[in-house]
Amino acid sequence: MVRQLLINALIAGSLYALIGIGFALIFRVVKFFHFTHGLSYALGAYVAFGLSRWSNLNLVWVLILAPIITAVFGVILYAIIFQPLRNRRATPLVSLIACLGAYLVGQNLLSMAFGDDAKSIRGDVVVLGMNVLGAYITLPQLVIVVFAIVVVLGCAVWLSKTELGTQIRAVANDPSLATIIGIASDRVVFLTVVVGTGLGGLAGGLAALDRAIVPTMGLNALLMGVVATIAGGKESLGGVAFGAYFVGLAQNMVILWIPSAWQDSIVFLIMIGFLILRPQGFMGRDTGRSAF
Amino acid sequence: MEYILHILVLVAIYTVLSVSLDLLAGHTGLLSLSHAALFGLGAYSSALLTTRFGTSVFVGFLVAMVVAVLISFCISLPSLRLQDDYFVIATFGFQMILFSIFNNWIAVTHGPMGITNIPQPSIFGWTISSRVGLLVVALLLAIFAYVVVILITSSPFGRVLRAIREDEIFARALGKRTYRFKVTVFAVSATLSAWAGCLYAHYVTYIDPASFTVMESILVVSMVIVGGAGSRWGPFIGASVLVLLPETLRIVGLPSTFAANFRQVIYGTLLVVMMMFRPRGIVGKYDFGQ
Repeated sequence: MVRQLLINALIAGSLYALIGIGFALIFRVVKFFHFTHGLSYALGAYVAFGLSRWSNLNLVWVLILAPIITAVFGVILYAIIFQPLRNRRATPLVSLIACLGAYLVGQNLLSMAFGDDAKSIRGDVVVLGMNVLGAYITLPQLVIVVFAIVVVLGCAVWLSKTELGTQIRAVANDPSLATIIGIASDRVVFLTVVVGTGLGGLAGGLAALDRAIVPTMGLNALLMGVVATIAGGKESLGGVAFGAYFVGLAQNMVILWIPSAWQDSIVFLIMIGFLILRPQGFMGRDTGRSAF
Repeated sequence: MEYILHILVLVAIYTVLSVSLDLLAGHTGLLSLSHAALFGLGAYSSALLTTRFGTSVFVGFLVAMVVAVLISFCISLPSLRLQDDYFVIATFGFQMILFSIFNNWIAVTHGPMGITNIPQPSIFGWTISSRVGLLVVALLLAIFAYVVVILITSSPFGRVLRAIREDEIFARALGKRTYRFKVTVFAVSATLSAWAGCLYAHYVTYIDPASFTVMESILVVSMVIVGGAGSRWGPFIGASVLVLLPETLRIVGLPSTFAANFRQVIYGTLLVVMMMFRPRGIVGKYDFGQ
């Protein structure tokens, strides 16, 4: 029981890490809660569903195309939401509300296009997973875990070693200083939004392998990513990943003591606790705007 | 005719809700995403009292107020330590927790099955069951909410609230204990929302958690912002527009499977458009969130 819960925590934590990384990446440069990230996640899942249902592509291609198609959606999102908000120098609060509205529109368009019933690309065959130390894990779940590790490490290297990564960190730290030394902030923000949205699509595509696909899946998943970001500290990607596994662990281990229906409430209590007691998260240094 | 009266009652109930949120969001600058939960708290308190213990609707209203104030402290004492968007996120969290209680505490709330046979409101043993009578009660509550908000905002207390909205540190520098002001105004706002919830429960006589989701909270936020945050008639206009607009879709003859989605598309689009092009809403004078 405990072992299975630990494995479940690992799988959930990996998904949250994938969502959280994309969310935190964009959050660092735009500095507001962009709820539209939930849309990227749900869209990634529906693209994966659509591709596997209506084309003969195998799952590897599905997983390559889902993030790319979602990234194209990121371009549109930047043009109609992020760029206008930046041009107007909208406050974080105003931007949050605009993104909430955009999320609402997107979720309902998805549900009009695909219906509210749960979709799945697993097929009807129930496969018993591999036995690892007395707990079960299926192949898609293993793929999720591996992808999470690769994405977290890949992003960390990308941000610290490449030129664009350095520019992203510069814009995240101080946009006006970055502009002064000749970094094209708009271009950097644009690329970050596109890459972050693509990562959201990847998370959604991976989640589609394992979980039911419904139009509302984005909001809940996004909130878990937000909690991971707040708990881990939004300044470092390692912190976000740590926060994600912490949330996954907390969410699954509480089942030992209380009914599973209350899992999510526990996560929100943790989030509120962090916001009040340690708003910079486990690992964050308080460099940016504080929560207080 | 019945249908028109029903729509008018809904407009009145939503006016109470958006007036109560506007006291927080428009006049004090604190946008809360937990108002659907407070609305539900009032509905559940009064519904449970009247159906389980057979108390009168009047007692239901009183207890709902006490519950709303107590829960509002649980929400506001921690959340009000946070700023702007972090406050929104914290209240979002509380909205999810309260919804989860409505949905999962089955022994008390019956969970998704909801509570049925809620008695209609009665005063001195005279039950109000006609639509016209219910509309009068709803209008009285809306007028009451308006009077409360106008009295508060035109008093010195209201001036401090506006000062908090414009520049909290400055208000504090003048010696105002802004935290106390914010906690108090949150409790007043919660009470008004809870009363709207009581009225809703006794009007529709059946409640389930689906009426108190975060989507409903976003709807109330849209009403305040579309109408005009911090203005006198803004919340009323916002509530009217956002209740009536989807109803015209029904008259146009949109299939009902799409109607529910389509109305949310309208709310979402209005939120985006207002935030980008007219943050002061239809009749407001104050640019929200600037």
